[in-house]
Amino acid sequence: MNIIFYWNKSSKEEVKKDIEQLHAIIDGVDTDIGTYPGTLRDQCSIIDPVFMIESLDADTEFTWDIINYFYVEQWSRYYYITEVVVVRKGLYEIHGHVDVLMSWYHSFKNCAGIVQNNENLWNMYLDDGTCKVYQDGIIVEYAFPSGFTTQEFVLAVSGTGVIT
Amino acid sequence: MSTLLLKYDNVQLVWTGGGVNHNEGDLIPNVYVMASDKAEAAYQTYKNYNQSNVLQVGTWARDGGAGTTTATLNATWNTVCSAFGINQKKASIIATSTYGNAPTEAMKDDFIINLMKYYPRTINRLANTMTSSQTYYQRRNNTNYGLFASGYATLSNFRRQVFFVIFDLITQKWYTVSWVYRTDSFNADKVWLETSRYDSSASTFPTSGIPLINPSNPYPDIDDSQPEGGETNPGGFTGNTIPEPSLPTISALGTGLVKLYNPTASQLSSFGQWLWGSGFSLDSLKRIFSDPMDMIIGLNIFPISPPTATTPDSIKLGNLDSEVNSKVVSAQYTTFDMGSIGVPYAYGSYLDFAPYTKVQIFLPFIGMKTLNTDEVMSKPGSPKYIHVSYSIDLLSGACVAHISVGPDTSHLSLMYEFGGSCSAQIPLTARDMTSLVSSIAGLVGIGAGAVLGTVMMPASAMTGFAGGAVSASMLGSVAAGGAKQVIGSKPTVEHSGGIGSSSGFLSSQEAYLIIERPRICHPENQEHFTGYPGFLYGVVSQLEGFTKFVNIELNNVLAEEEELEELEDWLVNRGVRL
Repeated sequence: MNIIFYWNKSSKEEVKKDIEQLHAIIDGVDTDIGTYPGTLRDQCSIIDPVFMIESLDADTEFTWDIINYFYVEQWSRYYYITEVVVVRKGLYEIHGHVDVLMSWYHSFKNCAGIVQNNENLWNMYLDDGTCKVYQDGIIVEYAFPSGFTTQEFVLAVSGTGVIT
Repeated sequence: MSTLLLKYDNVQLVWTGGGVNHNEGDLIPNVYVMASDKAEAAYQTYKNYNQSNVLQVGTWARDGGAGTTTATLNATWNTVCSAFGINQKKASIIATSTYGNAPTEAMKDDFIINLMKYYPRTINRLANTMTSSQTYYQRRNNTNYGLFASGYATLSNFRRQVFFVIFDLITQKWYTVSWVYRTDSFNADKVWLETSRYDSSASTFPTSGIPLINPSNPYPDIDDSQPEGGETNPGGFTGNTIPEPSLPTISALGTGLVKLYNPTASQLSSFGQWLWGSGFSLDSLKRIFSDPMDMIIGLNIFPISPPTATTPDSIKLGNLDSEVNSKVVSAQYTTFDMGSIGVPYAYGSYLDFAPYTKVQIFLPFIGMKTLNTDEVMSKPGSPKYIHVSYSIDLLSGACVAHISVGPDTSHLSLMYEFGGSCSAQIPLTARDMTSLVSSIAGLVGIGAGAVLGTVMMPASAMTGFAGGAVSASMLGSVAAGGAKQVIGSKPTVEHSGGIGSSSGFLSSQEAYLIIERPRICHPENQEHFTGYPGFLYGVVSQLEGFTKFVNIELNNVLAEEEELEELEDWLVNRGVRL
């Protein structure tokens, strides 16, 4: 099987990862140095696989500071590198964990659901309790245009004033 | 029999029967199965929509019986969807079928008899006599169930699967079962229940019904949620606009027993001089003994100019004329309009509403009142105006503030009414007749008593009056001085008029709103990191940016169970960035 190593530049929650395959200019030629063929010789979890990788030669010694991701073609899955164990010089034990988002996006992209939060679609009249407000609020007053402006007497009397 | 509708989640299509854009094995989300006598019309109608997500299983039936045409089945897909709250543009439809070989075969006598072993009261005995071109649904002779064959699928090994929908007319519940039988050697005894999508006990008939989604949506008439939108008028009610009340048509002024004057301060001064004038005459005595104070109901200060007649008149108390001219109030009740103001929103979000934003209103002579923010607050594209007017009773001083709310100043509806008193009462004192008479009698002596006695004094009071010689001028001066003393030292004090509210005049004379708003704490790019709430229907591929689901149907994802769980955890609990 082929294992393709990448530099994953995206955060874990990113579904479509920004990945860069390793290349090197060897003898003036842009050479893919990120693909390693291998054979599975023992039991291996498809979700948390462990591979033994041996450098092909000194020139392709792994530079683990820029490799954090790989893809297994036969399994059609992308993996995070969770741990690298140096067995001996040039031989590495690589622990991976499947990236379900990148691996299965092509399948779940047509799935539907009820969106709780989204970056672009929202209804701001839903109170999900996540919004924070400062303790000191703002008080604004608005006056109605017409107020009482006069004061007048009203004398109430009984009788209609018929003089006798 | 109305149209029936069933909702299935993720139906695997085992036979398409010539359906469009679908292949056998496809998983169809949100499948609605229509089992009805309107199936044909519905099918004919939805065909016209030519939607890719509409499919057909089996063939449509002439459920209405031979000769029934689309024209006579006047149900349309629109009305069907509307009745069940289905968005016809989103629904995948399987038209029911009672037409075809499989149902025909399934309806052979033996099959019906076999069914009746389990549902003795279920199957209409007449059903097995029908032909394939007729409906298999009957409800006669108190039969409690209707039976439909909603489609069939040809399976391997000569098996054929027939889908049935059973409706319990008593419990109003639905069951869906599928039967499998061998087509090469049909034998009723070998008909077995292979699957029941809602009943895992495949070896037995379902014993409890699966409640149909009828109504499929508890809010069938509610618009789907939308960004910045959603249902605006649940139920489609059109309420009434409540106008501000008109003034009473019957007033005290109309009785002729009460009269209101609108005197100026100088006119009141003149009136006071007349009322308590120092001159003495027979008219003065008549005035005193008629007690004009008893005729004064009240003297109040109002914060408005009352409506007055064009012609002034002299102030008259009972049958006495003060000859002091004053404007005459023409109506007991009047109004005062304080105008309207819009209630501006600040955020265009729920923060503009309760409990975050509070709205209070100060009403002169009434005080501070709390308004329901949700009723008066504007939204983007939906302004709200508040209008305040007063109705005032010029006799009692009572006032009522009417608060109307509406989308503009010409479409206001009454929402609040608060009462108060908007008059400041000027105290007037009056003593009762007995104390007045005895006081004056003690001062004026016999001479006066002779006069008084002839006029008003009772016989018992005349005893001491022996006819002494007292000049009229003397009597007059003493009597006048005594009256002033009486006013200041009345043993019995009566306040005329109604309740007063002097404090109201010491307060603001303007109505105003006090809106207390929250101050939002909004970090930069919050939408990028957490998104904002939507509660919207959405398909993953149509969404961008940070997204978190309430729930999502992960169908067609052929991942391991552990992967599915992790995937769901990302999509539902942690959120992803698409």
